[in-house]
Amino acid sequence: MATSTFAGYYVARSGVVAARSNLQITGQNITNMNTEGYTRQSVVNSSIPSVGNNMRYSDTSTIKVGQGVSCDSVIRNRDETLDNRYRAESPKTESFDLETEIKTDLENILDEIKNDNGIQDKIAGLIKQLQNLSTSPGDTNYESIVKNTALGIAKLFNQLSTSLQEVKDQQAEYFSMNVENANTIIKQIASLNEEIKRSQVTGADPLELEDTRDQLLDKLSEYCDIETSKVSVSVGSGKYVDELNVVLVGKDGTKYSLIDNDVYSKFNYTEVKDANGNITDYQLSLTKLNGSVRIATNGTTAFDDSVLNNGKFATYLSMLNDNGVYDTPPTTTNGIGYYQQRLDTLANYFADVLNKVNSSDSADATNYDKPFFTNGNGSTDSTGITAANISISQQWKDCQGSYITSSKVVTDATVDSTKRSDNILFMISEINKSRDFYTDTGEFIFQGNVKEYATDISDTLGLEITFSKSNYETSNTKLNTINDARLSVSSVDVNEESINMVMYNQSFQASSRFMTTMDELINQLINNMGLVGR
Amino acid sequence: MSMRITSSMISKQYKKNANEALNTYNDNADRSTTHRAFSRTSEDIFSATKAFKVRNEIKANNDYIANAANSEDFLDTGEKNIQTINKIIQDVQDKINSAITGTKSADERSIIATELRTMRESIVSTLNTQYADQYIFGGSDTSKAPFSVVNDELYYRGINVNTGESLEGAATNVGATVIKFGESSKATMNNSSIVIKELPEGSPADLSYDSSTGTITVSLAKGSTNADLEQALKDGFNGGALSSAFPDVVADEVSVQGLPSSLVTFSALDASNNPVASSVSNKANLKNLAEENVFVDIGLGLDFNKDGTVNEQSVFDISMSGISFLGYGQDSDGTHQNIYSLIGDMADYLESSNFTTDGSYKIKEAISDGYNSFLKKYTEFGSRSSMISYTKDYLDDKDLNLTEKQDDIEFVDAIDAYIDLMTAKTAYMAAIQIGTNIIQPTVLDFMK
Repeated sequence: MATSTFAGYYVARSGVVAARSNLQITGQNITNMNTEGYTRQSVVNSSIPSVGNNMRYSDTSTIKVGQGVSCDSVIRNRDETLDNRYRAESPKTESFDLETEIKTDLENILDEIKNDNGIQDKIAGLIKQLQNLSTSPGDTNYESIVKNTALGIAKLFNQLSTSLQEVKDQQAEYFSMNVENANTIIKQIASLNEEIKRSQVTGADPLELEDTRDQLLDKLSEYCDIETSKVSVSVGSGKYVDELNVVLVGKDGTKYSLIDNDVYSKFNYTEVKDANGNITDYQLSLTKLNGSVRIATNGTTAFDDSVLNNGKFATYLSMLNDNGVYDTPPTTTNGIGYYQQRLDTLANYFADVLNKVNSSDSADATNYDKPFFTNGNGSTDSTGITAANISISQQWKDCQGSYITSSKVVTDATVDSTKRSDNILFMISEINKSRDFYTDTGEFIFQGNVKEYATDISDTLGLEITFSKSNYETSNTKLNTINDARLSVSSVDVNEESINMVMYNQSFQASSRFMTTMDELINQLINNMGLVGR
Repeated sequence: MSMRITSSMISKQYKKNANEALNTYNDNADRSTTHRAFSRTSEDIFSATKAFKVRNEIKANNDYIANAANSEDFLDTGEKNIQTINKIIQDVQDKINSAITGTKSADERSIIATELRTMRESIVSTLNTQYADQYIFGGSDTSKAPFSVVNDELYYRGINVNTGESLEGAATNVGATVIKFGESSKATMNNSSIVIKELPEGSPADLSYDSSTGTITVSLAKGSTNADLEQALKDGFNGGALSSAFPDVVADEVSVQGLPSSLVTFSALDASNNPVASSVSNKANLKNLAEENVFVDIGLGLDFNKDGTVNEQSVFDISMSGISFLGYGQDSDGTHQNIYSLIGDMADYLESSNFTTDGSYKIKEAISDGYNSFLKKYTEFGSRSSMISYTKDYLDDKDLNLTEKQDDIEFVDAIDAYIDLMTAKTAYMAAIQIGTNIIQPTVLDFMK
């Protein structure tokens, strides 16, 4: 046996050190059990082989004894594949969640199921008043009730339109806030990249920093589809460290660099306005910073939802910009604008039907001499009426006497014909008449009467919410499954750690005991050997 | 290898499950307090669509019920009045029968004549009865008392019941533009007609009169109003082209009204592009007036014909034209055909110096004929009355059915909701109870 006499001490020492290190990591795990984003750590131990197996003065004896245990490093128990899968699913979940949230906001405004006092109810109310008037045409009391009911409808349209616009404005604000959040996250990741790299150069393992970075990457994946990659970079003396790159992946697979180690791009939120100061388009763009970003185009890249696939940004863009059949050419996504314009179309058709019936000449479609409703900007016909501007016509407002055309037919000039009710009944029948609704660009929207059209708005919205909700649930279940798998690798279990605590404690005691044994052995060797017969 | 499970995963899972149980509990609590099966369209689109449909049907049906109930009351009031009139006419006939027997002296006949005059006045006052501010026997115009007596002649809405002449004088209409020539015009314009020609915008108004055809031609610029037409006509009568032809017409009495609009309607053009003249008359068509309709929508499927008129099968007619009961017009030999005038004729005849029993038969027969057509109208009226009460019953039943249907669609059974709530409560209680079991023990609890 050619090992050193005192080698046993080193073996014992390595055992003590290893046990203590493991115990310390156990402590770290237990204390961070509930820390968000913490990854379970463990010490990588390896046994030290006997010295110099293949060296000139190597041990030639047949018995090779190892040199104890070595604590090589502390690692995080984490599976990068699961991280990538999580980040691929997360944007989908967020997309569906956000869509459900926005459309539920719209439903709160437009749905009439629980509160039966919406457009349908108001239209039914107008019919009721017209029915009353038909039994007593020209009665100014009844007419003033009809006028007030019509005023109520106009006000309700205005109010609904304002509420819808509020939802849009609010979501635009959230969008811009989220852009800022994403920019902050990107900036944090970039600075963590640099810090981690610097630590690695000095040989340290900044595990907690990596935890923070992973957490930030999870967050970033809520906004858009991202992909991460690590590049090994030489730092001299044959040493390599990792640099992290993050790219945004477009629908067609085009990659836009977000973070290249410590340099990063910046998202910009822009509102495009027309000459009147009305917002016509909400835009997201990406500006590369610091020159070295590997981005496809120079300067700023503008995104619309046709570039982005999933994530909050894509959903914000489509909810704020897409108007379904109202777009030219028509799109399939019904954003907030679609519902605003559905309401506008309803207001316009409804006003036009009544304006036409009340006009003096039913044969002349362009004659609007006694309109019920106008756009409130001095117009005297149905042009440009939207839910936002629909109002009672000035003529009607000013009219003291009878305004509603109760009859258009004179059967006998010598007899007063104004007290007949046929035109009021015609008004009722026109409101109840099934018609085809078209957009300004001539796209077909719906066939039915105005009340059915209002029902259809609720139905369309309800259907879309059901759809996005079920999509959200599917995607969220998948995300949770992936996250469970991730947690199963990375999370701390108190039982495990308690057992480890006992185990490493015992191992510490054993190593210490081994040292005592070695001590006794050497004591025997030094003090008691060759003393026989003294 | 089975998946590694950690305590933090268990507690996370538990938190999620407990929250879900609480959510279900809350939903059920909501349901058993509101009794609504769903609170949003997106919760149950199929039911929501049906619910909207049923709601609209209920609202429409309620309108029909209100209209039917109103019509029923309206007709009921009418019926009571008709009964009164029936009684009066019967009495009138009895009086006449007793008066014309040769045994009555001239003085006695005179007394009966006075009685008859009082009775016919009470017929008129009965026909001017109001129901809820409406003059029920006014046909299509229930806003004014329909009957009036001027110079012993009965007028229905300003029209002489015997001759059809209007108190307001001659009138005509071009489309929806109504021109009235004023009460002084009387029958003087009856052979004339009027044409309103359209001129390009901005042209000055022009008026001409062709005495050979009796045609008044008024040319007005496009976009002219009724006031423009009125002014042109007034100028014509006031020293203009019309003043010599129609000296009786007082220019200030001429008025023009548009039925729905203030814009002038121009004369329609015939096949050869000549404007069609509208003839002027001071006479109304009494038959049309007697057969006027006032339609009410009581849920028979309100529908309009291609020409814009109401499909009469789709509505209910509640009009009661007073003259349809009393009769109107006169025979070729000048015999009145309305009961009011006939009673007056009889009273006059009773007082006449050359009264004979045989001579009174003619008027008596006419009154009896008038009474028969009154009874016919009364029967017709009765069938309308029963039709409306039948319809109202049907609508009430329909309302019940619809409400029940709505209940089925929109609301949950209280017992079901309560049982569901209890089940959800149990599930929630179980979840939190189990929670304390799975969360607590770890190996730490068993370490010394």
